[in-house]
Amino acid sequence: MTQPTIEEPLGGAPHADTTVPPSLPPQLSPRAISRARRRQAAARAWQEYRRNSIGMVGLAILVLFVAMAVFAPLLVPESELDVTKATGAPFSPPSAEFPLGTDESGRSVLALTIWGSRVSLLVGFLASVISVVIGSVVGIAAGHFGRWTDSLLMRVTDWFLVIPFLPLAIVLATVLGPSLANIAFVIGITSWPGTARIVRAQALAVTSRPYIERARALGAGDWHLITRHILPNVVPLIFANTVLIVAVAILSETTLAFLGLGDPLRVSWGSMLDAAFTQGAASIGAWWYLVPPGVAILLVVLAFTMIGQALESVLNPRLRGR
Amino acid sequence: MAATSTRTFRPSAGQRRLGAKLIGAALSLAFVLVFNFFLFRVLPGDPAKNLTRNRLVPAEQVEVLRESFGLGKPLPQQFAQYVRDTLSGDLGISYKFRRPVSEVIAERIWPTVLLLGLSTLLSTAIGLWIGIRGAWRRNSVFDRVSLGASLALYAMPEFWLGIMLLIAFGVGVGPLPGLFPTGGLSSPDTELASLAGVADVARHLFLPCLTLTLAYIAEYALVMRSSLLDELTEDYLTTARAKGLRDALVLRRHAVPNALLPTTTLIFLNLGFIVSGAITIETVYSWPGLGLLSYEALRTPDYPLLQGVFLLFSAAVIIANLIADLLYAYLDPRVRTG
Amino acid sequence: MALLAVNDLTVIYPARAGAVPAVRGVDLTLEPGETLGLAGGSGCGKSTMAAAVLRLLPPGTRTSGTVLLEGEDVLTMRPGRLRAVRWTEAAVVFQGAMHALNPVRRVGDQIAEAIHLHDKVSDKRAATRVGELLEQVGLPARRASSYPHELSGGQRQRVMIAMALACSPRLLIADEPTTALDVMVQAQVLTLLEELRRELGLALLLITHDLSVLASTCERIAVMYAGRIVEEGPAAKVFEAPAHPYTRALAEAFPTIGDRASRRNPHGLGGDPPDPRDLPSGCPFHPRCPVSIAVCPTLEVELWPAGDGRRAACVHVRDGHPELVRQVPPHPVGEDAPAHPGPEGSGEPRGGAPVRRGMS
Ligand SMILES: Nc1ncnc2c1ncn2[C@@H]1O[C@H](COP(=O)(O)OP(=O)(O)OP(=O)(O)O)[C@@H](O)[C@H]1O
Ligand SMILES: [Mg+2]
Repeated sequence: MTQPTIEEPLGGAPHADTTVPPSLPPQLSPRAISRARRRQAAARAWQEYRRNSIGMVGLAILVLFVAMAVFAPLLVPESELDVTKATGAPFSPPSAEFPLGTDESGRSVLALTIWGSRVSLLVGFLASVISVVIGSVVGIAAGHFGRWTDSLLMRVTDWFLVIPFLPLAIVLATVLGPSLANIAFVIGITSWPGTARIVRAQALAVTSRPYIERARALGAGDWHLITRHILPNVVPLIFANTVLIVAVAILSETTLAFLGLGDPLRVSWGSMLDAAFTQGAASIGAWWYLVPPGVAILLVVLAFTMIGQALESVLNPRLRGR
Repeated sequence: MAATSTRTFRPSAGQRRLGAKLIGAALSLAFVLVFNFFLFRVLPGDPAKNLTRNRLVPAEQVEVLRESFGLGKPLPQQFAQYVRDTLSGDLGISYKFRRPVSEVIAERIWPTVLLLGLSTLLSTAIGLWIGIRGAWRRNSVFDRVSLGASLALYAMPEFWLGIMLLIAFGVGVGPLPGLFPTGGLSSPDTELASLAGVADVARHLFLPCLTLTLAYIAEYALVMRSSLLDELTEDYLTTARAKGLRDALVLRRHAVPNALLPTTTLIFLNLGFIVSGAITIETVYSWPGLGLLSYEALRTPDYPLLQGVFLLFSAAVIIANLIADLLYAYLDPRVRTG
Repeated sequence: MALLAVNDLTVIYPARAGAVPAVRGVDLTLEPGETLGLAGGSGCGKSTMAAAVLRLLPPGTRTSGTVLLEGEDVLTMRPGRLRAVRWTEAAVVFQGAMHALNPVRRVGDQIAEAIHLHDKVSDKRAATRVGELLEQVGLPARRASSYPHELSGGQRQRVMIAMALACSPRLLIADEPTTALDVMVQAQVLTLLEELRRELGLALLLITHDLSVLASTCERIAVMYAGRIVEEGPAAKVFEAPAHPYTRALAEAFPTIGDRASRRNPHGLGGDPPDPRDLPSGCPFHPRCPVSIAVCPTLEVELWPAGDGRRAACVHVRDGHPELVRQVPPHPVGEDAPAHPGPEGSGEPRGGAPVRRGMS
């Protein structure tokens, strides 16, 4: 509304085909047809995606890290995280016993990094779900209902958009207290406006299509219009957006944890960096404590960015060939 | 515009848009105030007790504090007092420093302005240059390398980059000694107002400034690159080439200025992101600015100070956004006269 | 010597999904002061032809053949010479004037830029010339200080024309100068072009998909299909008695307003326009042709003489029966849209023409 940024609604949504795919048997309900059509569109998108090498590399990296997070208990027993049972000397450099060295209390940095992936990814996903849900609801409501709903919601969105993220998150996190859920909540509540604007633009584009007018004239209610017409058209967009939000959320978790606002009872990559830094790993040159979590963050965020961009180019034909 | 003054005032489209922007910014500022106020009230415990926590303070002094916060009065009255105080620059007393928040903040502004100003300037110049070159020579070695580097820089937490640079150039690796000081604004015993003092501050400034510059370059290079790539598909560039303009001139006279329009605004809109960088990087390098102050405040936790800093950061970003909007309207005739 | 002589021109665009042969072996000549109309459906390579004349093709595009502009081959010119030739020997009025003008610079500056590039003149002289040019195209000189968005579509198109005239070229290429304009304005712009051409003795290459427009403005017409010229000859004859079934479809095109099928396919033809990457064998028009015969899918067509200085690439012309092309109803069996009689040589641009106002 007030920002000069240009938002192009995506054009790749599956609504475009008005013809029934020829492969379908003729005696299907309209809903079944539209579901089948959507499935076909998804399959097409996947075919397209597979040809995008950057996207596939990103996906491979991500799968690796998710596997690491899921199977962490099988890779390293949880007891290795217990400070009282630590076997190594504090801050010892990489060795055969500790491939990535030890931390200030003699725990294996490798074990910490593996376990850290759980919290980092979990908070990333949780926060993006919160963010995307808020963003989508606000965006659809603003785009569909228009008028004062739109102006009010966009006013709020703009506010969240201009308030500097980190100071706001710090203030909120300080007040709410450090816990995994709170961190996810804080990140989610501060990062939705981008989604809201994109979704709103697309919802507006869909709402102005003639068949919506027709459906409304035939007595379709808001709920019907939103769930049957608008939602299916914004979902691909939301999907691509979510992936990019996860990257931002993981970075945000890291930053908040580094500032000491993370869950003190759980290891995350950010809290590792916090501990390493406050315990003086940097000044004694204990790089092995600082490098692994940083590289892990870098790889995961890069993976999400790559996937997100690949998805965007698949779902938005305008960008194709970039 | 002067012509309107003789008749009854009829705002033009441009003026109306300007008015909307001003009102929008004012509303945003008001929101920040309200937000701050309520956040303060929902804090666990009694603000006056918080302030005196862990310290033996006579009961009557707590009462005085309670009075000064306006606690016990009805909420609207509290709010009125809060707004009055804030607008007159009274942001309360810092728990940690036991001095007025505004005083503490005032001392810390300049290091931050120096650090952020310099790194924003450097990163803008370098980032835009990289973005332009990358887009123009798209898919060249330069483009691929700079794009990869930008994406990687973008994907790493800037404080981690700071720590890495700190180890490499401040602490030293193995037998190599550190080249730069590891933190602070200046060495303890230098006279700041001398040539040696300036050189000393510059040496201290080097690493934090390098970190922030690198972190921001990535963003600007990416934004400029994609903005110029968008612009390069435009038909009017073909017209310019058809007229007989050299490619370099097509770029310099037409494509780049037009691509800079959205980029300029983004640079201003980015101030929020820049502020975030300041908090973590100042922490890493103990640079005594507002960022480090926020860190100290949140570690204590020192709520009045935290809120003061938040208020200041938010106001700065809101005003920067307003400037961005106005600048855009001034630079782009489609907005100016449309 | 011909002003423009295109010989066996082939243009192949690079693209991820496979190279696009947009123009495949085209010959054209244009004498000084002559008007030639180039017609054809969307995607047949008309704009590509226009771009090739000034070598304005995207990097990576492959070309072969020659494009002789006043005897010099544009395709092999050194870059410095090419820049000197651009706009001084030939200028282009591009398709879609909204996008062909820089949106954030005053139109006067954009015209003056062309003048300064090719003539060493003072700013003042250039400004005077800009004013003259604008008045020549029927705009007040003060319009020079407007931005493109402050002008109407027709005014923008006039600015484009003024800009094209800035360096007094001998050849003007107008690429669909009237699409996206409404009918009244279309007529005005065409009249303007015609007047300017006569006044200044320009040669005009007028590109459009509306054959009736060409019939009234041009001496000769060339019709393109799938990157080739399929018919060529004196304008009135080609329009009134097409010797190629595609020309006939173009000539009879009269889209019914509100009818979706005719909008999607304004020429009342069955089938889709061909994909240049995957052309039908033989005569590329045969799958859509109402008068195709057994040999068409395998026949290598070329431009055969059709009498009266005309040539057409249809087997019926080769066999000496050009009238066959005009006999069978134009619509493939099963299509219910009635055949429309062609307008009787009227010069007016017709109402209800496919006014394309996609752009924004
Ligand atoms: N830069 C490009 N890269 C790849 N293919 C292109 C490019 N430009 C045009 N084409 C393709 O070349 C063919 C001819 O395009 P061209 O623009 O010359 O058609 P046209 O006859 O001018 O059509 P229209 O009437 O729609 O303007 C089309 O199939 C088009 O898709
Ligand atoms: Mg064209």
